[in-house]
Amino acid sequence: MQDNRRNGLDELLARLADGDREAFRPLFLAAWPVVRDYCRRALGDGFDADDAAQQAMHKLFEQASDYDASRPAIAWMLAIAAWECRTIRRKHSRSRRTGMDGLLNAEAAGPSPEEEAIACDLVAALREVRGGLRPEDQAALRQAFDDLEEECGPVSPAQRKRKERALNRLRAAWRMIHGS
Amino acid sequence: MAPDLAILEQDLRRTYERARLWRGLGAALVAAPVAVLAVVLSENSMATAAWGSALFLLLAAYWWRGEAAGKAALPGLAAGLPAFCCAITGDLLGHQCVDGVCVSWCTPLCAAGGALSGFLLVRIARTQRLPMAAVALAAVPVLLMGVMGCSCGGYGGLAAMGGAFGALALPGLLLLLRK
Repeated sequence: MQDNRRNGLDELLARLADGDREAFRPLFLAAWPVVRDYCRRALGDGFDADDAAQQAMHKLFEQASDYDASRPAIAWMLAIAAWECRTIRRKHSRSRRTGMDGLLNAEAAGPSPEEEAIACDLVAALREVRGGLRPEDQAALRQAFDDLEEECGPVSPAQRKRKERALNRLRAAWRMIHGS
Repeated sequence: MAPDLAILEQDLRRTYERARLWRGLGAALVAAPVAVLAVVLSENSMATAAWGSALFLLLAAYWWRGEAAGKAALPGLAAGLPAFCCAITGDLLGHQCVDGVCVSWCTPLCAAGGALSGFLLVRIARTQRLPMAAVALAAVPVLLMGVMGCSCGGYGGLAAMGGAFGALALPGLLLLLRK
């Protein structure tokens, strides 16, 4: 059954590629459910799947004259449909990214009172965890993040090593108290 | 909302025909060098340009239509080359005078080119197993290419080319039909 359907599609597409207009309607009727079902499986039921299926059908009939009859028609059709589904997905992810850019721009405009409160809580929690560390680690962290940031000068390897060790202990202490 | 299938089908038909038309026009550009060469070399460049345009449009229509016409386009173009080249050569050679008698090269070379084209068309039809409809359609670009080159010989040159082409192509095709 499946093989008959495949052979039928191969034959219809080869006839249309040759210019036989009689093959147009049977090919349309045979190809539409295949392409639509594929797009629905890839994108779910909805406008996107229908859009992708229609776009794929346009591409398919646009390129029908270039169809290579030695290739299976169904694979060729589904490759076009897959490409259209991917294009729609990519378009969506791009629009999501644009939404995130909007959020970042809003952030650049300045923190909201809610964000300020959250930041203060985080700083307080960090201070609390840092307070539990050994005095030399506390000094190393203070030096690394407070003094050195202000100076912005060169950092010696010993200072860098001390900062790394202190940061590791800080991370471990943070995980013990707050989880992740 | 699911798309209206009747509207979608109509849209797809238009898409298909448009794509075929562009493809046909693009493919027919292979005739452009022949037409440009004929126009450059011909004395009557306006008429040659008209025949060249007709050849271009005919090939585009053949490739757009497809089936037998699509199969006829390239063999017609290939088989027409001898007729065109011989006629152009005759045009370039002009005439030969021996003992005060001058003979134009154009008409004899048009006839020779027509004969060669007829032979070549039969050979292509046999090797490519072209259907008879395609062979008949392929004769049109052959004759158009011959006409483009044979303008130097006037009606006599055209008649010589067409006659020689028919004299070789028709018997060959009849033999093919009997086989």
